Amino acid sequence: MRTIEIIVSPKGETTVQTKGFAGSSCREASKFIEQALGQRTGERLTAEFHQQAVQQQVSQQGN
Amino acid sequence: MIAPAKSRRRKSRSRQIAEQFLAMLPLIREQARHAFRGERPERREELIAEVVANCWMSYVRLIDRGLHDVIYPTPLARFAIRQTRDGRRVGSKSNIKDVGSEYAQRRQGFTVETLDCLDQETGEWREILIEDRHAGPAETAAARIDVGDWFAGLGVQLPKWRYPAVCQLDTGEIRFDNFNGRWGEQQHLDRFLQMYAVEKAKIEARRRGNTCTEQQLADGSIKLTVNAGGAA
Repeated sequence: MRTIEIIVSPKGETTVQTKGFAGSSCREASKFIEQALGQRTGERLTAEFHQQAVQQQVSQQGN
Repeated sequence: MIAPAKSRRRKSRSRQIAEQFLAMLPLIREQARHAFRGERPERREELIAEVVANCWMSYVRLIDRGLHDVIYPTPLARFAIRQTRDGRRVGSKSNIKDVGSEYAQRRQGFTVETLDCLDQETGEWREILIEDRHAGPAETAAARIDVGDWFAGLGVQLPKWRYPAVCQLDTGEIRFDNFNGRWGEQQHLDRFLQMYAVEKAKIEARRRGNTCTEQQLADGSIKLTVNAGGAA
């Protein structure tokens, strides 16, 4: 199952995490959320990203 | 020829129902006009129309339930006026998380007003923002400098904030001056940003045909899980 988890903090900062996506497709999958919520301030890739299996992407939106 | 006879009877019944409602209409309008007499003329006409629509919906529901004998204009109007005052509108859902909804604004204690539709030559908004009797001369002078930059945007009046925060719709930037918390608590703006982000993410996910679930976390964060479908 491919899911996108979005956590919005009490200060309005947003963290986007994709699960179940292979390789770089996660970036494409979460692109619409990033465009809607603001500029990306950081990104963290997991080992799965490089194994072309699962990728995690973290983005933050500031004020 | 049974069908035309039935059709005529149905039309006659519909006309009778409409005529009975029209007979009550002047009294309903009068009560609504009295209830909203303090509103601006345009706003008052909108609210009166809302009350009439609400009364019609209630009237039809009562007729459908066979309660024709208990329908009176005054209770209908009073109920409609209460619902209208509460921000409930005929034909639209009462979404407490929709910042554009009057219902949400009333319940959450904020208002949303546009600034860019006003005449900038007359400076009407500038004067409204500056004419605050709580502000001293220094604050007023500072506001005169800052407020000029605020016109092109969407003003959001947060609870107990002295001045509205202004959202620049083209850049996503929010301009505000809460004087380090003295003119408004930061938590209200944070809460507004959180609500906006959650609703915007849900709208975008649903627009793409994805299902979305919402979960409140212990630290006050809100977690949205978007089901993007399929396996990797």
